[in-house]
Amino acid sequence: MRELLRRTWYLLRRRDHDEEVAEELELHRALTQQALEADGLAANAAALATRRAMGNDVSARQRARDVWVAPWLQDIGSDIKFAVRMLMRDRWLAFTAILALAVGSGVNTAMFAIFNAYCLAGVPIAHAGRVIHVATRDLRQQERGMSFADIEDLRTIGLTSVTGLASFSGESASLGSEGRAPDRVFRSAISANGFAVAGVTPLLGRDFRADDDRPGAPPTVILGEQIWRTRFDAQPSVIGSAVTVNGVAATVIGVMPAGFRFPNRADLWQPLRVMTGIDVQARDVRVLGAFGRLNDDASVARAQVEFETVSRRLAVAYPATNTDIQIFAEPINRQYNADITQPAWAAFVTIGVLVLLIAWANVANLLLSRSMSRSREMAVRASLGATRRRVVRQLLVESGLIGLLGALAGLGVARIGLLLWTRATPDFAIPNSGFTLDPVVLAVFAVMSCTTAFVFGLAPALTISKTDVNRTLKDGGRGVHGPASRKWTIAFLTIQLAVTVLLLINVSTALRRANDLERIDRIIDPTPLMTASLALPAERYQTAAARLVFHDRLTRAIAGIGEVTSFTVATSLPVSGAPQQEVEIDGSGSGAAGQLPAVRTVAVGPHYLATVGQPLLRGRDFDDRDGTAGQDSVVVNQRFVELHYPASDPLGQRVRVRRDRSAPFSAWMTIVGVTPTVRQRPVPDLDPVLYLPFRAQVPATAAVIARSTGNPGALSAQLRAAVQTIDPDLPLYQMATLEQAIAEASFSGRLGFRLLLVIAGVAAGLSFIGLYAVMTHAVMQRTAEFGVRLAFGARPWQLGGMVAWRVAAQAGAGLIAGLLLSTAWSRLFGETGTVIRLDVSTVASVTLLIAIAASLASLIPVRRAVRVDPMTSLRQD
Amino acid sequence: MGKSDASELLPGTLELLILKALVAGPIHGYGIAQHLKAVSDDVLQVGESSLYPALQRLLLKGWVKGEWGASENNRRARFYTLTAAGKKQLTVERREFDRLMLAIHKVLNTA
Repeated sequence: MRELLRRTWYLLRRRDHDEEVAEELELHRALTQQALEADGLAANAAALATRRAMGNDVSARQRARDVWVAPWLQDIGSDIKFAVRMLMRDRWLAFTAILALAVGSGVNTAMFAIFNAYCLAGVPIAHAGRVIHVATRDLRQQERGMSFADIEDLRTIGLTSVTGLASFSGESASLGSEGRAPDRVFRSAISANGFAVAGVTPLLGRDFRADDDRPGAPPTVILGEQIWRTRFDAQPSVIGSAVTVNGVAATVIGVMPAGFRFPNRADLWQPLRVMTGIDVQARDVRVLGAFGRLNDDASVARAQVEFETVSRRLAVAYPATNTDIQIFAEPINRQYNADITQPAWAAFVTIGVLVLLIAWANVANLLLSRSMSRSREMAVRASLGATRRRVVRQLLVESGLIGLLGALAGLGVARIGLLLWTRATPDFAIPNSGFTLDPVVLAVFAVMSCTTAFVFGLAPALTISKTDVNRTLKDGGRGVHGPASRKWTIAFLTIQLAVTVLLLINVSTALRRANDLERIDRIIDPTPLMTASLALPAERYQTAAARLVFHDRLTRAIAGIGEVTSFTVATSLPVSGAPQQEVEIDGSGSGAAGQLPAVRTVAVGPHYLATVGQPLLRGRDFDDRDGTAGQDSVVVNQRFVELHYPASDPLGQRVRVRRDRSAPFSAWMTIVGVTPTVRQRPVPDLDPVLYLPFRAQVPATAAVIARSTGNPGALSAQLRAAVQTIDPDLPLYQMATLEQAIAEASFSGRLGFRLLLVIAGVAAGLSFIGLYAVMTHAVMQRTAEFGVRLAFGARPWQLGGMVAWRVAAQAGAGLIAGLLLSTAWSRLFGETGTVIRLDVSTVASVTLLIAIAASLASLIPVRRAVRVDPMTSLRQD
Repeated sequence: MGKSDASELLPGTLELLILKALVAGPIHGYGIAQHLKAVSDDVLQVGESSLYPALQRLLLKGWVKGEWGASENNRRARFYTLTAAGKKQLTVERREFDRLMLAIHKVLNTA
């Protein structure tokens, strides 16, 4: 409305407008006086009369102003202006408070965004709540994927609760196009209905059609948005162009929207049958992932019931492959989200809250200190007529301003934090939806920051607005804040320092653990090694002998590849886990009764140690004869020796294993070699490991490991070709260099560690800035007292000593509280992965750190105290 | 004669009176006060603390506009004139006022 425009125009030239009104009033007064003089009054009498009649123009001017801007708005405006001025006066304190809030809320927002991305957000597809993840479970509750044949049957049987069922697999591949070197990408092979079931349409081009997934169909590929941008410069002309995937030409038919990488962090997608032989795979080769969309009126439970029925039918129809195989369904987000009940996440969230606590304690302290120095100002205001409400409002505006600025800055901190985090996280570990600042989260934290400052400003505001005006003005505003406020300050500081100590201890423990692990992991140099998995289907390789034939032919074929210096197989890769079995030591007598000790087992082929690069401590590596009849040998690791042969030589001793109490024992095996302990599981614990000869059982599923002279990634095409010459229908899965495989397996541990490091650093920084700020302020408060002491003959160094002692006492209190807190923490989280080591060296190093930091924090306050000039300080009154 | 403070008038009446005073032509604040006093035989004496805020209200609503010029004694003064919207508003307010007066009249004259 035009009225609004006029008001705005007024706001822009407020001062001029006010002066105009003043000028009018002045003219009015002059004319009134003139009229009185014309009536016959003497000049000064007329002037007096006018003044008496008209009085002061202040009220008139204010009412004129009130027409344009509502009085309450004007009040708030002046409150804000004044708040800004006051904050500028005390700018270091304001800056520290804003910084504390910014860091606290920013770090928390970022952490929550990370937590959200991993645990809550789920898959970024439409109505993800209606999508189910479908897989199989066997008798031992081991989960596996679906087989091609089973899925086809599920589709033809026709489920009433599910509208569409899609399957997928994925692996590392190379993408080539004209004019650029090939890129290493992750290719997802997905059934033609995959995107339709997921409810996503391509950004450009078209989706796969059923025709694209027929045997013999011309190869097609759909690109991900990121690849499209980086490799093809986001040119729409990419549609219809030809590229090569793993050396095979394919036509680009579409591009998916930005941020979409479902189902397995894919960079690009091809129809399922691009994996040669997938459609004739044996029914018991269960390597495909599967998902489906529930019907509108169906529930997961109903789908589950249907799947159970189908499982039973399949078990009857195909007893060899489907007995005791249960197909199950669960909400897809449960599959993709990390388990929030895991204690590591609980600890993560707790730590975030702790940092926030530190920030809040900081702000509370700072606001408290500030209020203490303003009691006289408040008394003067009160004596000039300010109501308590007005004073409290003014103070709340000040703390609210701090809160607002802190929240805004916190946004920036969160943004930067997430950016850095995304950059530092390897591609495979970024969840499907990326790390984004959820607007809801943002709003929550913004509100929290503002209310924090508000709440923490309220207490001091209420206290000092209650001042007894007389007393305060008389004694200079020094006696108002007695022990009560001091107690709060000490309490806040102690909390801050305690939490910091806890975090530092956590970091120290994690550092040591990481160091130890690093030393152990460095035993194997993974760089020249390439791995891939294969699964020999039971139909064509029914006996161990048949599988052995395959492996012998494979070994010969791979030996023909020039760059390969050594080749072997293993049922598990290092750091990637291994099944657990029970072991009986010959001669230990623990066989019949009681619990047998646990051990991890890996079946490895000949020359495993040499290929992988694991040194031998004693004895020998496996060769071609091990595992054959009469040659039951086993290699053990150092941990096993430490546990079971502490005093004797293990070589020549015999052991045997069994899966569990209900399973039969293997044959007795002779220990022929000892290797250093290498991490078999991606956890910090070191397990005893038995390396069994592959040739004994020749498991159907295994990983092949090849050592290359050059870049191992370059081997992929040749390895694939080698396998194809022997069995053209056998694909290689999960092709990756050992480095990649280990990195993927051990990622979560490193993630946690890195986070902890950052947060502990932030927390420590916050605490010590807080300590410094409070101590400095305290010294300023005590300047008059110091002046008096000096006048009474104290030496400057004694004053400095007093301050230093205060700082030391506070730091000490914080340290002790922190150690107590750490003990409580280890009791709470002790059983899980976040155990902390409260040993002498950890405690000592943390104490040292605190001492150094406290000394640094106290430098300036002590210097201030020492520099006090008695004359100026006493005159300050 | 007691001074009738503008606050004793019905709300909005002062604005109505000012608008009417402006019909004759541009006039400054003091002039308006004098005019009202003269025409009402000294009954309506508007003080500056009510007059000028009321003028500001009229400026805000866009019913008058102000122009600076020279007053009788050669000092700068703001002269107010009615705008087209103001003329319309005058008629509206006049009618409203008459209606109100009639209503009050009726109430007072009923037994």
